[in-house]
Amino acid sequence: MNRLQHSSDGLALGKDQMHRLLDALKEYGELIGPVHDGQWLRMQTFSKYEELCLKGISWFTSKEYFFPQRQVLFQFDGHSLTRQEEFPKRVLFGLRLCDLNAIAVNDKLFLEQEPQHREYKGYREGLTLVGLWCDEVQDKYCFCSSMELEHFYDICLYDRGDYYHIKAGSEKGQEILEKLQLLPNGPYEKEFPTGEMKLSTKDIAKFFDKNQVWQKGAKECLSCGDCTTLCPTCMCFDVQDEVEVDLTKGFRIQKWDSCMYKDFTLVAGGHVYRNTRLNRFKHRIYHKLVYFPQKFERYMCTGCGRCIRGCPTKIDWIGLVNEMEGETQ
Amino acid sequence: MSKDYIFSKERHMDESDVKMLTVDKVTQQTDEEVLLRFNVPALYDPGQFFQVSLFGIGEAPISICSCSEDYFEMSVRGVGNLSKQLCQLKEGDSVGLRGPYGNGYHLQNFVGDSAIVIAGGCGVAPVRGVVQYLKEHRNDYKDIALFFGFRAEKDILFEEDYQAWKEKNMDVDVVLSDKSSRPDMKHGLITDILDTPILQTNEKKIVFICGPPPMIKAVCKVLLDKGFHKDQIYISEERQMKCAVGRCGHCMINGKYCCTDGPVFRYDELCEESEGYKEEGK
Ligand code: SF4
Ligand code: SF4
Ligand code: FES
Repeated sequence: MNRLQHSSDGLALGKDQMHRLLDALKEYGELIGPVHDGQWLRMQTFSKYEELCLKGISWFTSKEYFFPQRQVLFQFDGHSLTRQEEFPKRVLFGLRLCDLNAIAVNDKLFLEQEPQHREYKGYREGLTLVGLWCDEVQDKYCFCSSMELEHFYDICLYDRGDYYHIKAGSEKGQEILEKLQLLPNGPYEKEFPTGEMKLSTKDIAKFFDKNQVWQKGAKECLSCGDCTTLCPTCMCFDVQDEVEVDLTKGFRIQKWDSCMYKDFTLVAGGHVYRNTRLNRFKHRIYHKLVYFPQKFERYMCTGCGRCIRGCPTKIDWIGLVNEMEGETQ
Repeated sequence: MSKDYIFSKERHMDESDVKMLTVDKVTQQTDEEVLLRFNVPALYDPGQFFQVSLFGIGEAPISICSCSEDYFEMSVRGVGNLSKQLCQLKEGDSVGLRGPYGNGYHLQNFVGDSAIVIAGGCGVAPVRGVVQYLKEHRNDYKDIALFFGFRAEKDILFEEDYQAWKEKNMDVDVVLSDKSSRPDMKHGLITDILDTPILQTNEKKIVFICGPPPMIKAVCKVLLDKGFHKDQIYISEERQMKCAVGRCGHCMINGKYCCTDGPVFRYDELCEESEGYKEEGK
């Protein structure tokens, strides 16, 4: 993504003109956006603006569209290998800033270190990212304003009532907007919205010994892995072979995995390195706020709140961190 | 003159980039260990590893135990599903390989020092490449002493090399933990043979340790008690590895990746008051 210098200048696009934008976007791939299917608000294929549900945050992340839950690394037949050559082109429409930033985080891991992940790259190069700015937080679990997010998109839409202020964040976004020949709308900017949930500190390494407080969370944890499945920045995976009955043909596949599962750190010989819920729970939060930033200079959490919203026991790790910070004041 | 390296530490292979190679030589080392040799030019450091696969069974990290640009060898111990199958390989059979991965032992940084290698059981395999390197560059180092521990006589690895090492003025001291019927090998634990002159002072010395975690812990304690500093000690770690390129998350030790930052770590990089090295409640 060749990003442009951030500017608040944009164009105006009437809501009754959205089909023009969508038609232009269709040239860039299959349209995927937040659609309510009766049960979930979820990123799904759509074709008309009217199908979209632009209120609320999608329950699932969009990562399945560039980091499939099951990804074939190669197909084998005897000793010959075939890798995936074709990757779909897709437009992710109506992504919130938390989910857009999550893709910037994913890029660090999969593209900005050697070797690049070939399949991730294939999907990622086919993506066009269209963001929708949140005027207010979507629910009580959002805490994006604590997470130092940046402008990261090809195009971003700001809701202005009966029209959108629309701007490009990349060369590709600019190219798309040029085709629409819209009227300039001057500068317009909005802060990241703040709700009741706020992370009081990200410097949590100092809380290492506060086991009693971490324990409160760990005690409630079921090791179900819902938090990592729903998280847009959790990209840990397992690699396995699937074999056909004749035992010579099959697939080497990559599957979503979770550091919350006990066998995640199991080694041959039977030892499990993170064998308690406490150290698995702490590891997840440390990875996001301490380890990842040490290496990649940005947090591995964008404040989307899904890990709390979707947790069966609603473990509020933000509250725990705030509690520890309160104690040290 | 640059060779046509089939594998090179400068070239990073991703998860789906597996190369098929045939095994050129298979040597049964013990009841449980087999040595696989591939006669292809490869550029690697001792202590690095390959992701080895058999399609349909899977992939696992196996450390390199040689030191040459013309071939590489791996000693496989048949403990897991894949390694058991690898032990059944015959000359001419194919395996999938990608690598070399990881941070090996950078011996060129310690020229002029005395080198001590302490290893137990199958932990001897990864350091055998270190010993081969030291042998090739014998004049660059002062004293060299090797301390190996095995369970019984039948478990001894690389004994065919010991004579050549001794001829190069490298001390080889072997201890057997079950019992010893060999006059040249003591009976006991590796920590029982560390009370020797070379370990009395820590001056200009570097120690490489490889073996099961309890052994590493015990040996480090002995060394620290003798006055060695944590930054003179290098240990080799073992974790579950899937991607080997620092992104699947499986091998993380605190903020470090065993696959890219390790598997060889300087002891002080790991043993701070940090997660994984502290016992915690359930
Ligand atoms: S850790 Fe939780 S809040 Fe942060 S990005 Fe993941 S799901 Fe969202
Ligand atoms: S969703 Fe909640 S209960 Fe499930 S593993 Fe995550 S923190 Fe534990
Ligand atoms: S093996 Fe995947 S991150 Fe190290």
